[in-house]
Amino acid sequence: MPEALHLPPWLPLLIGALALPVLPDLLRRVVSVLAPAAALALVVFLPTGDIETLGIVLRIDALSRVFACAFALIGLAGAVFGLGRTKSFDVAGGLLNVGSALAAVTARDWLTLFIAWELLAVSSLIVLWSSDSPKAKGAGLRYFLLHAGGGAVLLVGLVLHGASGSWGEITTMPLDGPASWWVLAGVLINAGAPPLSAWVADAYPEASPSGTVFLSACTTKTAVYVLLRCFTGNDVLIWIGLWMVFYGIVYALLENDMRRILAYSIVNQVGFMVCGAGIGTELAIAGAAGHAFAHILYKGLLLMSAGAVLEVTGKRKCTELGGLWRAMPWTMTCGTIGALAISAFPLTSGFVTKSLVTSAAEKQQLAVPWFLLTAASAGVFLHAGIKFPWFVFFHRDRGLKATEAAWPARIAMGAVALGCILPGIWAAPLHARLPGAPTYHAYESGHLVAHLQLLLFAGLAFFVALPFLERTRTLTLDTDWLWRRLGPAVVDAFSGPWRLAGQGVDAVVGAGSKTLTSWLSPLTVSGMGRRLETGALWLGLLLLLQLVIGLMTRSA
Amino acid sequence: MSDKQSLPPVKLPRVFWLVTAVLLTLSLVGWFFVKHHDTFPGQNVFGFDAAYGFLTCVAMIAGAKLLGKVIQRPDDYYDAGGEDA
Repeated sequence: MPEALHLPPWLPLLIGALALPVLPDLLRRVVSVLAPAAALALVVFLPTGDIETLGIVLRIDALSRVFACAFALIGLAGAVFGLGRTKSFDVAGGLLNVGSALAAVTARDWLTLFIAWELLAVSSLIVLWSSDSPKAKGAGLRYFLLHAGGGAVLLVGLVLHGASGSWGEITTMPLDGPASWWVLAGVLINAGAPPLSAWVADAYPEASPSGTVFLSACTTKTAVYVLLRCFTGNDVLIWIGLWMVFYGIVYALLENDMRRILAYSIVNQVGFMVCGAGIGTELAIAGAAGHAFAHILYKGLLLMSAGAVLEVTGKRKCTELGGLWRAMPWTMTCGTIGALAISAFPLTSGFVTKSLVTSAAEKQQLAVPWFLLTAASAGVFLHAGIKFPWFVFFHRDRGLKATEAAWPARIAMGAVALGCILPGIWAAPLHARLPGAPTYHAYESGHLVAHLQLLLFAGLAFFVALPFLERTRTLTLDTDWLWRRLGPAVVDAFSGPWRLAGQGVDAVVGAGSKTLTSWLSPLTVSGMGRRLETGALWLGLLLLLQLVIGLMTRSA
Repeated sequence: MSDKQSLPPVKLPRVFWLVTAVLLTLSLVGWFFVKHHDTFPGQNVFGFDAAYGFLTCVAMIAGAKLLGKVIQRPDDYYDAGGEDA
């Protein structure tokens, strides 16, 4: 491509996101699709290497291109899927979200990555707050609070790291001092790692049908990218990944809300990638990157089919859904393809990517991780592969009035479904583009038969245990209980004396100044929750402060 | 929770179980025609992956149910405080 066109892939998305809210209806739809399409073209055609453009340096290599490709593809699919909704801010926020993810994975220096990191949080908040869900406001605020905190943790690490003289290029970071541990902690928060995994299932399912598609792709996989770039080969990541894998399965098994099931399974799938980063061999890194690519597509597809169901029926709980295969055959077919891909069924993308990670564990003779990853592969089929399509499209026919999804949604789902099958049938082109370009035969007969046995008998377990899996109208407590219940209760208890003192002063000074109590109330967590705007303002300031510190440290 | 008590269990048609049985058998028979991995103990034993898949899934379901007894709450648990705090 001509050098004049060597532009950052995030640029069209940034321009698109800024333009969408002010464009007239028809033009808005055109731009919402053209922007990610242009980004995709840039990602595909930019030459490999460090590219100087518009005063910044992009790093395009196999690792960044795999992630960038997946982000751009799902951005395009999500935009087409959401064509009916472009009036809302959520597509603009979604494009900005994808753009931020692209900026993060093509960044060569930490500062660019950090700014992209913060924009991911801001754009996610925009997407969440443009949702119609009554819970989206609170969920968005909690999401933002956590990620502003995560960004601060990352910044502390980067500043410490910068003090040792390498605050420039993003490179491998040995875990040999507080700086790298702080950075790792900040990255792991975004990856959905324990103990803060709860944010994934708390926030994503409250976004609009198209908004969730964007969100599900970006934040966690950007974090996986940084792990693969900087922290490979650290054993601690193997165990963190394994924890995430089983956390996702157990919580998804207990969950009733279809989009929360899929959100828990994001943590589960990212667990496989984190584990791959921990194993750290060339095969494992290629596997984790490839799995991220495949995952972004099939998770987007699953959330699109769930979103289509939500849009048509207005329902999202397994206890209210079922039997939709007759009314929504296209959505059912695409959702099932996504479900098979996430289960790594042969002939899907999941099979040719996840096998790289498990094979890497096998090659390194890591017995415990291998046995656990294999059990988890069976568990994926259980909690997402069968559970989601079964309870939504089959199980009990609840006589829901439903029609097939709108045409743009059908096209988007069909295209992504194709993207989940093609690499499964013809894996070589994908494998050749992974870091290290591994030559790997996923369809080697011994592995194929073993994996089929594993999955099919996991399926048997599902249907044998079906009476025990019948959903109930429940949610499952997680660590977010600490800040949604315990924290506010404690703060309320402790702020009691303050409020009393304030009231006392008010009583003395007179009714003319109720000032003290009203000034103190935003400082309590529960007060902040009730006053979302105040809370957002505080957080906005915090974020701005982080950016200023970041910029100052750079010039220093 | 009321759903679970009031609705009869879903009964799967006979043909479903028939197809399942055929697929399971095929995957087991396939074992005799391929070269097995033997990195870890058990991998080259007939039916290992089938048993492992089935049993670990049963264990995961049982484990989830047990954990659920402790940490599951009605799904309006967090709604009590009005505007979600």
